[in-house]
Parts: sequence; structure tokens; C-alpha cells
Amino acid sequence: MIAYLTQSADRIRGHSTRRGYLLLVLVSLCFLAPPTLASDAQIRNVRTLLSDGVYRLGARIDFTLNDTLQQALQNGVPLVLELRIEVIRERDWLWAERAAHLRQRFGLQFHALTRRYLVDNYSTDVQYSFLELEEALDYIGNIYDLPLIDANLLKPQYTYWVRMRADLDIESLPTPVRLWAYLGSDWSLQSDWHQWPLQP
Amino acid sequence: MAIATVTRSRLGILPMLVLFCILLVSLSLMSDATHNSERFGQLYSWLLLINAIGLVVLVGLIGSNLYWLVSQYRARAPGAKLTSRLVITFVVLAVVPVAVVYYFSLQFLQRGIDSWFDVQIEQALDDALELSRGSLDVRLSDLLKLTEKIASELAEMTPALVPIGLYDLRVRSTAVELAVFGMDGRIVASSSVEGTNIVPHRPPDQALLPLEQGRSYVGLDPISDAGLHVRAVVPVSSSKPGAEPLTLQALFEVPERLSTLAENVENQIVRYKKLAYLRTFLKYSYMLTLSMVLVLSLLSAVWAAFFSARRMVAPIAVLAEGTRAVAEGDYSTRLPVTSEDELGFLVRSFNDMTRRLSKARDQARRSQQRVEGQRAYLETVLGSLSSGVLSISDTGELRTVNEAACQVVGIDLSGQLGCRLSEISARHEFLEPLLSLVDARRAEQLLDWQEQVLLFDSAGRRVLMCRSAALPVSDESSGGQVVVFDDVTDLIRAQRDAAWGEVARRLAHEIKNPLTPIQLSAERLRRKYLKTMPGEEAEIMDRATRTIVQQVETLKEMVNAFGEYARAPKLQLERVDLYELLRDTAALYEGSTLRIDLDLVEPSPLLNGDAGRLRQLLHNLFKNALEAVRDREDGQLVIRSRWVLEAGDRFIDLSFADNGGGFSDEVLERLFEPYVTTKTRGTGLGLAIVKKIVEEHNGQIRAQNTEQHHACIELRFHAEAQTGLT
Repeated sequence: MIAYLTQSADRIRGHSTRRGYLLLVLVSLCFLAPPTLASDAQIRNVRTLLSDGVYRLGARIDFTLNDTLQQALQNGVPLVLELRIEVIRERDWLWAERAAHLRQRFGLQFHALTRRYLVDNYSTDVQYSFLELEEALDYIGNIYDLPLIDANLLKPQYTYWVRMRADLDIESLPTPVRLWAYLGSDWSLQSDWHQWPLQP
Repeated sequence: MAIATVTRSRLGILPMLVLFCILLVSLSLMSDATHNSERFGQLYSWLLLINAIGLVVLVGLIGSNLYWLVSQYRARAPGAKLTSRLVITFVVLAVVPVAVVYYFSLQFLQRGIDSWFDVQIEQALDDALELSRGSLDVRLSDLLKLTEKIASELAEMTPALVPIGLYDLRVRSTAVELAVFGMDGRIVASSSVEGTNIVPHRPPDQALLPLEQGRSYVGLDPISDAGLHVRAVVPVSSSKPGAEPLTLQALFEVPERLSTLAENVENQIVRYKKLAYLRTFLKYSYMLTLSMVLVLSLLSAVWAAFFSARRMVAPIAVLAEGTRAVAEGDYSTRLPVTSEDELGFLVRSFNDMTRRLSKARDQARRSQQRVEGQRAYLETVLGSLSSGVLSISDTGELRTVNEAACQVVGIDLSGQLGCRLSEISARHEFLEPLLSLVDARRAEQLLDWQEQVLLFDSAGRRVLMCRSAALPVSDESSGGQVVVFDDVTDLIRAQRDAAWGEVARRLAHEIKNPLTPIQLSAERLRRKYLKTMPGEEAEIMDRATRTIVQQVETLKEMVNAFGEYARAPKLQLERVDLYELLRDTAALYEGSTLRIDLDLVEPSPLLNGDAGRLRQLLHNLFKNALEAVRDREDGQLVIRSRWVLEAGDRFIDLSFADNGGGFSDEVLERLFEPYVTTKTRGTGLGLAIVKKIVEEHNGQIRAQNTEQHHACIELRFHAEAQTGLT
């Protein structure tokens, strides 16, 4: 639509249409894929609990893959979903201090021969297979009993926060689509930081 | 400025080369990364960023160069036009072929990538996949049947025998693992090839789902850390009443050949499908890389165009600047030699030229200074000379004239330089005798001579002693002659006056002394013998003695007059009112035949003089006039006065004009010399004495004939006005 507007504006001005076409091409490049529903990751039901002196994390992440990512998956493009979890201590004048950080990476791919979705948990190096994509995403988004930090490492006088985000790892995408993913097209999947206080 | 530019350009090339190299390497890596994502895939984003930054840097460089060029062009700096023309030429030369190559590359890229993919190939691959699935399905159904057979055998066993029978069954069936689960999911029995693996792999929920509907499950599942396995889950339905319904899970290895083939098919299909799916992006990536290469090449070319144009033009601009400096007369310009090529040669030649020019200029200046010094020296010498000096070219033109020459002839000749002598004599008749003599001698090829020349002007006769000498002929001057002359009039006159003074003294001494005895003797003769002599003799005696006495008296008078002339009595200076003196003296002649008309301009002039001598002067003039008009009835003398302001001084001019016969030409020449007279009587000393008195009073006298050929004598005295004169 923007391209169309640009073109009409050029026509009204009566300027050289060649420049208009150039702009049209450039704008179309930016909006290469047809606009579809954006992929999303909603973080819910976060909780921390202290057991045996270790803080543990439980959370539920609802991943929604849009058509682009689903088609890519169907066409053999492996996706890497990444959870980043940090324990931070906020300071008055300085940026927050990071007390601990974890990364959980999951490889998701479609096995054409068996028509199954395979999930590789890179932390445990175990592969799981699912018949449905939702099941695979459920598996990835279901976090329980994840050891966060030893309670002894926390200083009692401070307040600590846990924050978490879930992203699609762009650097693991095939090279040709990385630029588009960085430019924020349908190829990107990013949640905001979800932050809550660290409580036993 | 130009020198600084050259230095900067030279410094600028190294970082630029490094930048180009980095960009080139980065681009080639990027192209590799696009092609083969495993090798450089990790770096792709960084490479993209580096290239983008490099391009921005290049654009910035070009922008600054462009700005520089535009500002140079506006300032009309030398070389700006040439630089822009070179830059445009370079850019056009670079852009056109690169653009053509780019266009065709894009076409090849589009068509090439599209040609990789084909619907038929895609269909064939899909078919292959389906075939693999079919083949696997056959295998799976075989294994399911085998598992069902094992389950039926297990169903016949008592629960206690199950663990033992399971081992046999596993060995027989070549299964990797057999496991029996209870209803609550507990492990009833298991047997595995890997002895270490005590805990069997649990069936996933999706495998258990069909069991609830009384169906079996068979599938190709990935087993943790063991790859794909065939998993069959079947219910163990015991015929014995009350027996617990159990579930049997059998894991079989996929035959290696089948597995490999299936994997291969799978991998290739996935690879193909992935490529097919990503081909648009792949095309864009290639286009991006290609475009970046193009833009990098273009920008590099443009920058290189700027760089080389500036480097090429810099020495030319320096030369232009230098030439301009030389044109403005600055020969000290030396240009830095920056290269060893033709331009360097040109610059070196330019430096040689300016060096020689400045040397020649210095030499010329030195010799000019020398010449000017000599000239100033000569001018000083000539200026301080009392002799007049004229230099005359070989063609008869007046070249130089000194101050004294102008003073001697009384004419400013400096305005006549370059004029021919004949032209000057035509303008100033007075100089004619001198100049015609010079011309005549030159015509005779005679340049060294010495002669006395007489000039006549209103002030009287001038005697000039002239000497001429030839000037040397040299490269700079073409010969000619120099004429030196002195006004010897006064000298000659002084000599003559001195001679006359001597004559007077001698006359007084030698003649006057015997006169008195002669007179006394004559009177004695007369007194003593006249009475004694007879009548006739007495008469002779009387006449003779009277004649003697008379003549002696006359002689005495004459000798006295000479004595008067020769004597130089000391002047009794006082303030004299000239008009009063004139009127008093004129009054004495009222009864005579001469009518004196006074036409005097007020105010009366006061002059510092001897009243007696001035009265004598006036008497002499009046007597002169009386003598001149003796034969006329209407003899008259007109005396006119006039105030003259000359060179800041006030003079009174008096003219005495009679209506007598005037002066003859011969007399006029020597009028003021003693013994020159037109009269039959008199000593001939009248005007000589007049002139002497005038000169004693620092005055001037001149005599001339009026148009009616009457005599006119003019006097000029330095005087002050009695009252204010405007």
C-alpha cells in the first residue's frame, strides 16, 4: 500500500516515473513476504521455588509460529528457539547486576520421512519426536524444576529479580533469510523481557 | 596549499588500500557464506555489517571529496575544472561497463537459480519419499506382526515366566529391546541388547493413545542417543481370566541399508525442498552480495577517480599557481618535485626557468641600479657645474641638459628634450647662433671643437665660450656629442672695465698732472706777453693761449670724467624714495627743450641706495635724452614705472623712452661700454656710468629701440612698496 501511495504521489507530481519504480522495488523488498500473523512467545505462569537450597524455576511459554515459520519448518528449515533466563539485582545508579544467567536452546525440525517434528534439547542433547507441531512447542514451552541459582549466592539484603525472554535464534537460520529476520520481518520471533521478583 | 594536498593524498592511499582489502575479503567471505552456510554462516551477519560500514565510510570519503571539488570549483581554484573533468571521465568509464556486467549478472542469477528447480524433479522427489515411506511401512507392518506374535506368546506365559521368556523372545525376534509395562505404566519385565541400559525406553504418550482404542502402534521413532528405531507397541491380551492387561513395546533397529537409503532420500529431499523454499531469499542474497560488490566497486572506482584525478591534477595546479606567481612577477617561486615522470620533469624545468629568470632579473636590477647610480652621480656633477652642458644625439636631438645650461641661456630647455636642434632654434631665436653652430659642425663631421658664440637678446649681448666633445659610441649609446658652454660676457666685461679703469688711472696720472703746468704756463704767457705784443701778434697770442687754456680745461674735464668712471666710491646706502628722486631731478630740466612726462604707478618704490649716485644716474639719462632730441622741437622723455613680482620678489621697472633717433645696431651691441657714443660731444662715458651705478645697486639695465626706432632704456631695481601693495 505504501508502494502504491508512493507511486501515485509521483504520478501526481509528474516526476520521472523511473524514480518511482525504483522506490517501488525498494519498498517491495522491505515488504517481501505477504503480511501474516506475527510469530509470538507469551510467557505465563512463572514461578520460582526454593528447594534444597536451590531456587528452581517453572514457567509456561506459549509459542505461536506464523505461517512463514511453519512453512519454513515444513520445508526443512530447522528453527532454534532460545530461552534466556537471568537473575539480576537492581542497583540505584548503575545498571542491574547479573547474578546468574541460563540459556536453554531447542532445535525444532520437521522429519519429512516420518512426518514428525523433532525437538533437540541442546542442554541435554536428547531428541524428542512429536506428531504435531503444537506438541513439540508445548514441550519446549513447558519448563519445570529448572535449577536457577544456589540460595547461598544471594545476598539477603538485596532484592533479586528473575527475567526471561524467548527468541528465535536468527543466527541459526539459513544465511539467506538472516538479513530479513534482522530487518524484523515475519522471520523474527521475539518476546519482551518478562520480569518478576525472585521469591522462595 | 597544493603541496599539502599532495601529501594528504599520499597518506590517504594506505588506509584506503587496507579498507579495500578488508571489504574485498569480507565480500568474498560473504559470497561464500551465502553459498555454503556451514563454513562462514556464523560470520554472515558480521560480514554484512562490516561491508555496510565500509560502504558508508566510502560514501563519506566520496562525499567529502565531492564537497572539496565543488568548493574548489566555486572558488575557481586552478585545476578544479580539470579535476572534475577527469573525475567524470573516470566515473563514466568505470560505471558503464560495471553496470552492464551487473545487469547481465542479475539476469543470469535470476534465470540460473530458477532453472535449478523444476516441478518434475520436485514430483520425483516426493515420489521417492513416498516410496521410502512405503518400503518402511512394509517393514513396519512386518515388525508389527512379529511383535503381535511375541505378544500372543507372552500372553500364554504365566506372569512369573514373562521375564525369562522375554529374553528368549528378544533373541529370537532380533529386537533391540523388549519391555512389558503394566496398566499403571510400571515395568513388568524388560530385555535389552545393551546390558547396561537397565531402564527401558518408555513409549511416548502418542504411542499409548491407540492402545486405549485396542489398536497397536508402530512407528519410526528417534530413540534418545540411538537414532531412529522402529517402535511397536501392542497390547498383551491374556486369555486367562483376571490377568492384568499388559503392554508390550518392541524396539527394532532399522536395517542399515534401508536406514541409510531412507536417510539419504530424506536428506536430499529436505535439502532440495529447503533450497526450493528459500530460493527467493537466496536470489535476494546473491543479488545483495552482487549489489554490494557492484556498489563497492563503483564507490571504489569513484574514490579512485577522485584520488587519481587529484593526484594527477595536483602538480598541474601547483604549476598553474606557480605560473600565475611568475606572471605577477614573483620569480622566487620554487615548486616541490613530487614525481619522476613527465610532470616532475616539467616542474623541474619550471623551477630552472624561475631560477634563471630571477637571476636575470636580479642582474638587470643590479645593472639598472648601477646605471641609475652613475646617472645620479653624473646629474649631481652636471647640476653642480656652473657651465651649461647639453648632450646631443648623433641625429641632432637634444638628449640631456643641465640646470646651469638653462640658467645661462635663460630658457628652460628641459621641456625640449628629444627635439631637434633646428626645432629648438625655431622656437627660441635667441639660441639660434649656438645651435646652428653645433649643427654646422656636426654636418662637417666635426665634433671636437671650441668656439666663442655671441647671443643677442633683449638684455644685450651674451658671449658664450663653447666646447664640444664627441661622445663614445657603445652598445647602449650611439655617440653624439656633448657641448659645454660658459657665459663669459661678465668676465669679458669685467676685463674690459678693469682695462678702462687702468686707462683712467693712467690718464689721471700721466695726463692730468702735466695739464695744470700747461694751463698755468699758457696763462702766464698770456699775462706776461699779451700786453707787450703788438696788435696782430697780441691777437694771435690771445687766441692761442685761450685755445690752450680751453683745451686743457676740456682735457681736465675728460680726465676727471674718466677718474669718475674708474673710481669706485663707497656707496652711502639709505632708504631712497625713487619717485621723489625722479621728480626732483626732472624738475631741474623744466626750462630745457626736453619735456619730461612722468607716468608712475603708485605706490612709490623704496630702495636701498646711494641717493647721490642715483641722482647722477638720472642726470646722465636725462642728459642722454636731451642730447638725443636736441634737433627736435618736440623732444620728450616719457618715464613709466611698473611693479613686477618675480620669483617672490618685488621689482620696480622704470622705462625711459625718448623720441630721438634711437640706437644704431652697432652701437646697441656695445652701448654700455665706455667711449661708445652717437654724439659728437661728450666723453662717451654716460651710459657706462649709468650701467655701473645700476650694477652697484644690484639692478638690471637694458636698452632697445622702440617700434618707432626711438631709444628706450629700461631699469629694474629690487624695491619695496612704501605702502601696502596687493
